[in-house]
Amino acid sequence: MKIRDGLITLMAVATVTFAEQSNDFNADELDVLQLYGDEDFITIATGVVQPIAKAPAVASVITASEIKSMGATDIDQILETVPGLHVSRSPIYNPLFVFRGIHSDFNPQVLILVNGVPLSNLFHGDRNLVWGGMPVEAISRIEVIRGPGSALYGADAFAGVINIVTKSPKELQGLAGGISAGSFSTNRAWLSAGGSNGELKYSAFLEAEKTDGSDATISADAQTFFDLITGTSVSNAPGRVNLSKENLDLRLEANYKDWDVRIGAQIRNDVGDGAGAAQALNRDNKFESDRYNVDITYREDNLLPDTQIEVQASYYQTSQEVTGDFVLFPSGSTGPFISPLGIPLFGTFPDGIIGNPEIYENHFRTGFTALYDGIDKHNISFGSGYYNGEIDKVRERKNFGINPNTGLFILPGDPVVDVSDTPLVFLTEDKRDNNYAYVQDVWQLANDWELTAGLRHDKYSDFGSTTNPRLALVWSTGYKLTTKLLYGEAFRAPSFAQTRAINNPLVLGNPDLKPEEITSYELAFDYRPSYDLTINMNFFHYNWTDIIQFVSDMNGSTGTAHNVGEQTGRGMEFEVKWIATDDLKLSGNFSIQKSEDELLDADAANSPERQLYLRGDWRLDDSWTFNAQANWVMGRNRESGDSRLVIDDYLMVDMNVRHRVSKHIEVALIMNNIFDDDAREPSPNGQPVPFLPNDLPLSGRSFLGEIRYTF
Amino acid sequence: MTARLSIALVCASLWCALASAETSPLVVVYPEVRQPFAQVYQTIADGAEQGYGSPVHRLELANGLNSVDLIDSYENEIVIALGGRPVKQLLGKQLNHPLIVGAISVRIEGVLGLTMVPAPEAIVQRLQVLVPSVKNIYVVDRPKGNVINVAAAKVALEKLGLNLVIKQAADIRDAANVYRELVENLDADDSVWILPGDRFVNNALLSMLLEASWKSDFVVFSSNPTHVKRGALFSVYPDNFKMGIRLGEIALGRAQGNEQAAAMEPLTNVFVTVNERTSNHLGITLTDDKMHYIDLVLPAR
Repeated sequence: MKIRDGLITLMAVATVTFAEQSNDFNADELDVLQLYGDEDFITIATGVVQPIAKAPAVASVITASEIKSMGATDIDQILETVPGLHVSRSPIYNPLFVFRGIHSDFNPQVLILVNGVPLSNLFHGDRNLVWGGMPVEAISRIEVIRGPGSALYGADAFAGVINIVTKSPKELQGLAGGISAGSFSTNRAWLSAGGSNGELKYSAFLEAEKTDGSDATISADAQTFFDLITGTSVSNAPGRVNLSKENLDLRLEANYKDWDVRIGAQIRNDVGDGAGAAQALNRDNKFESDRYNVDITYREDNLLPDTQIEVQASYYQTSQEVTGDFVLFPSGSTGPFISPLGIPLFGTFPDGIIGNPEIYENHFRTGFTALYDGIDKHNISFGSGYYNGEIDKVRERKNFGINPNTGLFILPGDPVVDVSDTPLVFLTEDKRDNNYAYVQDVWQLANDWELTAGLRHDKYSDFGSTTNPRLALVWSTGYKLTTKLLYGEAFRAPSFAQTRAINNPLVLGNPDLKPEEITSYELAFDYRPSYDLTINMNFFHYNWTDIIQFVSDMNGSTGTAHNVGEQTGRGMEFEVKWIATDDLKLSGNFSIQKSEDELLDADAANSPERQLYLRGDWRLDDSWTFNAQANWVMGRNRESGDSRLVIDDYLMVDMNVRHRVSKHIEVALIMNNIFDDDAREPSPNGQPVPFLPNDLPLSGRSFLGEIRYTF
Repeated sequence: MTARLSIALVCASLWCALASAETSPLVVVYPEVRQPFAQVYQTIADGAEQGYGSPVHRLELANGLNSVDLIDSYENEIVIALGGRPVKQLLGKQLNHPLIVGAISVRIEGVLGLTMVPAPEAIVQRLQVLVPSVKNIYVVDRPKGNVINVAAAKVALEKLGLNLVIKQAADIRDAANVYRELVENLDADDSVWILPGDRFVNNALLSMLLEASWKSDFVVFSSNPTHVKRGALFSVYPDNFKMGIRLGEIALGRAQGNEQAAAMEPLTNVFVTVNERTSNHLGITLTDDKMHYIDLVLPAR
């Protein structure tokens, strides 16, 4: 077993999910197929991809060919198809990967890794406020683990873990590319190249995208409410949601003997802020973000007997930047500075309320993992590592609040003041260290019984230590049935916004916060009554404690972060994959969850309680394929105290028609939301009212045409 | 008979052409296919280059093109034809090229080359490594069209101390009955070998066979590697690079004028794939000694 692609393989993953076969073989291909049985096995036998190891967890794997056949252009569309996972939206339309009812404003309870390296940011614990999406052409597969995984992955492997594995030089030999264009002025292009020289293999992948993003309309926003109170009339709502972006993604990889080096850049420009960072629409607001990563991995199998060692070092640098001025509330607005009687405190701001917060982070990680199989019936892995993360630069320019030069309020009409490097900036620059060690044993108890036991200890420079165990008992019940009983604990590190936020008129950080914790039990079944049919089902229960929430302070105007919340949840996920005929594959899943906010003794809000996904992949003939999928999102509760009607369920249907014109050329037409359903994600509740009363509308019907060329 | 004669004539003419071919470069012709299929041929060609000891010309045969036309521009060079289409096109033609065939699953008499069908010994030796306690191997043979000679295999396996029990079945229905009766009496000393190219074993029959093996702890191994995904204990598949080396060596022998019998060699350079879930169930610990013979473990669910 190779310890490749970071910890996810080491932890020895999920069901063996092989790439979907495309089936459209010509006679020459059938010739080769006869020798190997199927295309998936050829990709493995020729070393292009590694077989995916099992996981003592509830896990899903989505391969590159599945991604292509469903016509996805962003990871959000792929992840929406995973049972128990729904991709919701924040007011700036960043994706919130909601696992099993675990919903929060910034979604730091999910760990996203690229080739085993976390994307988490320190500021909010998310993947950067200026996310801009993640394109999919460079992805080899996505592995999703539902439930806690801190015993292996450490912080934030809480509600779920998403590991994105990019295509290796082996998969990218030669030259290939594609372009696509469609609705909302979307234009995309990608180019991949790979080669080898002796034992050196290398590849490059470049993806570019420019789009206006969506045709959805925000009918009313926070400024609409302030207009109502103050008598102004400056809201940009109703108006189109601000979802433009210009993305450039570059990934380079080289493999030489036991060394792998990867370098990446994600450049985000002209990124709109959705319905508004302050829930007030302004289509001129644009963010930028530059993200760079490099990681080096070395494998050594001969240093110690029966031991494979892997050492990895990685560096990840991110930024959240503002293009020009970022207008929180539009020109002529009073902003939220209104007395309880509804009287504006400062009058109207002729240039609008401007706040330009910028953050620069860097993350360095180093660690080793080792696999030892020198003891009969045991497979022991252990590892240790060090992390250093730092917000090394915080910049802020704004035209409200206190002017640090005068000590007086910045008044309407005053120029924008730079408060960077003053005590009045919104966040302190700071860093965090983490040392960790873990051990895990996969013990073959008896012929059909395997017990995985793991423990990881993390020590943080700012909030102390935490130890998280997990246990997984896997029973090969019969030829057709496998049963898993799982127990896990996990933690979520408090973000810097929660521990170090200062000078915010509404929320304040608390340096004494503890991590959020979760305990989870799962019972899972994998049943394969015939070769054509696979059925997976699981039941889960979790208890999420020490949830960090902002509690009103004595002064009545601010809230400070405290570990006060508690949520419990239980549910079931059911998944079927059926090869109906040689030309037709049907699959689907149904998830149901019921979560309760224990503090408020109310149903947990915003997550779908039920979700149904159905999909068909049909091969019309040797060169035509057709894919259709339907996603039905149901039963999302309002937050406690939110008087709005329950948000409507929605049903989104997508189709993808693909035609292989020749060995070199393939064309596709991708149609999303073909019935133009008015799909909406819940907007947050607000005081005294929700500022986006009609929620967050998703895109209507859209088309994308695509041409791929392999040289 | 006529076919054999023409093949023999082709070989004879190729043999004559060899007189002036001592330093000929090597041409490898194979069908133009998309990845990952192309990787199979490309790796064989890489191996051929190493086995031959000098660079080879690679000709990808686009759909609709004929290998004969393609190799016409090369004079007196040795040709390795890989895959069904180039082999069919070149066999029986009056060529100025010595011909070596490879990467085909049928054995053609009177032609120099390498089949892609593993030799019975190659797969059974792996059985002895993985499950040394097995004494009997059961196969269901069909009257015609088998790609291996089971009678010859029986003799070969006896030398390895194994008893090959051959059952006959005329068609799929018959095979289903034979397999059903067979599995009722098998235990841990026994094994069932699904022969290469066995079209009797469809999904339903394979499922029945594997479920019975799970209950009675007998071993099912197969010459079809995808059966391992479904629960067969192990299978073998070609080591394309080494197969290429051997083809290159055969070509080099030709180029140097060494006398070689015009016959296709069985495949002996194979990789082994094992189903971990099944091996766990059978109590087979994949120790380092065993792992030495295993190239790919398909992990448990």
